[in-house]
Amino acid sequence: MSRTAAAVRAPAAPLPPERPAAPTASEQPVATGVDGSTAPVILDVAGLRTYFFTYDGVVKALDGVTLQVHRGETVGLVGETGCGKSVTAFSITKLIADPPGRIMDGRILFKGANLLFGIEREAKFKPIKKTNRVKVRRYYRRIKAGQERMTAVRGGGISMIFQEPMSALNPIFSIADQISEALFLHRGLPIIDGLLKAKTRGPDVEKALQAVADAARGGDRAALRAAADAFGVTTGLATLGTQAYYVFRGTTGDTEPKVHEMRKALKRAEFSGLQRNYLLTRRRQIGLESQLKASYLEEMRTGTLDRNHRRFVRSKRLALKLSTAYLGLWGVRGYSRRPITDEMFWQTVQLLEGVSIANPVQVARGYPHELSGGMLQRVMIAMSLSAEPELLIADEPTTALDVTIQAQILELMKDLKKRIGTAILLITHDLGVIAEVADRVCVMYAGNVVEVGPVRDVFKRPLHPYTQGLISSIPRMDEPDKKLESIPGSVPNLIYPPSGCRFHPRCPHAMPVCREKRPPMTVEGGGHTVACYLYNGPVTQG
Amino acid sequence: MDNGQTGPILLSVRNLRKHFPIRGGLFSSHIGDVRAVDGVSFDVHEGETVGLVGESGCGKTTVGRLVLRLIDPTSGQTYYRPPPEVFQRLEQLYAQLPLDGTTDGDLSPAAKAAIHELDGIARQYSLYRMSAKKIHNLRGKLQIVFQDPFSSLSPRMLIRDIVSEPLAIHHMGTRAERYKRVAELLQSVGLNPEHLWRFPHEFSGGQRQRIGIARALALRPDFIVLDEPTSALDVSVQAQILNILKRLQAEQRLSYLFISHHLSVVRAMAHRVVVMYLGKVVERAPTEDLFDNPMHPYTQALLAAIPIPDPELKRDRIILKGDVPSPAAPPPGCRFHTRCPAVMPVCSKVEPPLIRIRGDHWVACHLFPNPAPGAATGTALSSSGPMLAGGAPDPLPTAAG
Repeated sequence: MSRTAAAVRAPAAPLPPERPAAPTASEQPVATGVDGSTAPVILDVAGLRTYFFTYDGVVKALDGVTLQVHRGETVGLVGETGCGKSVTAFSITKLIADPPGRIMDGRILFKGANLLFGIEREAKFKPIKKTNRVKVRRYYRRIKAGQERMTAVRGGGISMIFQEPMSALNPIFSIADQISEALFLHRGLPIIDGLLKAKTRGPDVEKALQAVADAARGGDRAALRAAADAFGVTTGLATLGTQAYYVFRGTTGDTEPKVHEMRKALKRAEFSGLQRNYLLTRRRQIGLESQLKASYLEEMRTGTLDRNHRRFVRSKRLALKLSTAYLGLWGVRGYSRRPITDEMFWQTVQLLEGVSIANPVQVARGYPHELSGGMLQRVMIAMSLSAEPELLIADEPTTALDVTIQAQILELMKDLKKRIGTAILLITHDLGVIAEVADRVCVMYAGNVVEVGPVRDVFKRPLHPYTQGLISSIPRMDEPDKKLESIPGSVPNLIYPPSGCRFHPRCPHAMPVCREKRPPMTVEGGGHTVACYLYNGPVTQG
Repeated sequence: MDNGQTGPILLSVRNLRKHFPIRGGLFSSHIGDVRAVDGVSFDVHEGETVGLVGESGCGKTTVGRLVLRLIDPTSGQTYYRPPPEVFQRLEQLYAQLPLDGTTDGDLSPAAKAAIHELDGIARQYSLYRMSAKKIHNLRGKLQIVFQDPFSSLSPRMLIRDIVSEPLAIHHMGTRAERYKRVAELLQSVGLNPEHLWRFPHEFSGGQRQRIGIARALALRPDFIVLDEPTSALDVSVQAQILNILKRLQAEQRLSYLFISHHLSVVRAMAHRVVVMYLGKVVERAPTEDLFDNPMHPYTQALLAAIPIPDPELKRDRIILKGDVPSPAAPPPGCRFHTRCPAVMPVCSKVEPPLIRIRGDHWVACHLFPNPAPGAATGTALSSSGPMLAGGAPDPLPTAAG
């Protein structure tokens, strides 16, 4: 227990600093110990129930999902269409469309913060007589408060990549605009501080700029890169270095126009009074926002509302807004925002470089329709990693892509994981992808987790009949003569889910007990747990 | 091209091209072409499955639609059931044409004579030269199962009507007989007679795909184009569908053109595989040979890119850089040279012809020596096969690097 407590108090860079307060006993993240990992648990989901209230009845999409993600590991969540993989992801980030969906019950602890805080007060349920329908009375103010609380976790804590990059991005804003928005939201403070500290004049700046020009004339890309980076260091703004690199790239002859362009960029980085005022105001705003977020996080940790503190912060926020209303004036705003806009653009370029896009400046200026699926998915990855989250939820990130592009994206995700140390919850129906990327697997069937284990163990020794069926139904490249087994029947209707074990109608080993009672999760050694009556190891909690 | 393992030729596709015009500018003038299919040749024998593999946008689906004459090609022919002697003659005549199949420029008198004779054969056997009535009758023999089971069944028709519609169009039997046949068909794809009275929305994706297969089987076809029949389905359901398709093939001696981007599915289904890239065939070989011994760098990369569901297996992967170029402006020379890990200076200048390496293994890549222009006939090529395998240094390792 002590190490999990340490995890809770471990300072996390992207999240606002927390006040020292011990979480209550019921909300401690429980390291079950059975999964054999030594890293602390950062996401602990237990007994999660998400229902959709439709005209035909209540769809019990998730019925007690339990899973854990440890720091820095990749967990694969696998299952057939409609088994609740995506609903799990959307429940964790609280993005379930409401109405019709609602998280009914359960626990989602992210580093000790209960993301479902206050969920039981958000709605009341009343069955309608003689039908299968349930009337839901929603308290929208409480729902809104719950959503706002999630802003403390989204981005820097949990971030998400969606299946369809084309529909996840807004078609009317450029890539740079969209990434900038995410970037500024989560890293606004260091960005403004960097801008305010920039050094744009002096002989050393001029010397560094001349060095870049010389390197460009030399024609060596690596040398140019080094000189540009040195220029960035001298000015104190790394983005100026990036800009210099792309401005000078490809010029071998006369560098004078480029030098002139960079001088203009330097000039732009000297702010007028209005611009400086704007930056300082934004800085103060961000400070208040982060206080608010800290307050939300505190509420989710301790489980008590922090009304007074929040009222105080809100009043200050409003006062600031009113006192600087002129900054929103047309013309004044564009002018005063310009330093941030420029800085964000080049930060976007840096981010796009990080996801191996060859021509980041063109891509940043471009719009989503101009890019291919693989490129868009890279943009999405860049955006979701811009805040360096501790948990990345990737919802079928490669399903819409070709195999060669899928290989590129998977390789990129592996690289980034190594670099940033993000934990990944990878949702996919492709067991091949899981085998390649994941450390642990979590197999879902019809809203239940049926098997969890280390990836090698699950593939070598699948325990649950469903997992066995799933693995033997994949056509294998390395074993072409293998007969394809298939699982008879199809996924059940979740309005009327089968009683007992939800897999029993399709199970080749179904026993009478399977029809009556849901099998508990039992430990079958080495962090491998399974929910099936065929096995009778010790029962885990939850 | 007798490989001694399958029956007579069912379809022979030769130099198929389909260019879709791009219209734009003032008065919607013709400003360019999307070269969706650009010179594709392969044969389908009776009772065999030919796999057609490639990334999205490489022209697989267009080929599928062309061989059924759902759309008309820009040029090229598909011969339906040419007798063996005609097929042999076809082989000889095509060998006399220039290697890349283009017919413009100065032609030798022999080539001109060959084109004239081919025209005569095409008039008799080519799908694209048949009269409307003849092709209508032939449609019963050539069927298709579409990719998306959700949009290929009319939501307003009962399953009974959907499956019996082809029978009605071809005036087969009385209504009662037709419905009896529909019940049989549903049974053969693993559905119950009670499903006759339902609408498509009541079925899951896998069941809908079964209905699509039943509809394609209604007229007892001998050739079915399977256009990514399982890409919208889950693996467990995919296995059900693939097993049904295999069983039907064994029972009814069907031939399939199996279009897929999923190489492991193709390996499980196909006897021979055609790999396409940007409208061109880059490699064509019997399945075992292709998967054990991929020659073209693209095929190698494609094989390496497939995630294998075995965490113990660690492979050296070839990861291709970049995206597929636009087929409206394909790169000059070899179309793959922009992403090829084994690119050479010649690749961006000269387009490599499809040449026979050994047996029935054909590759279009400059890594493999180009035979002399005169030696393009089948016999001359097959003699060059063993020579390459025995004496010449194997150029494959450079490709893998």
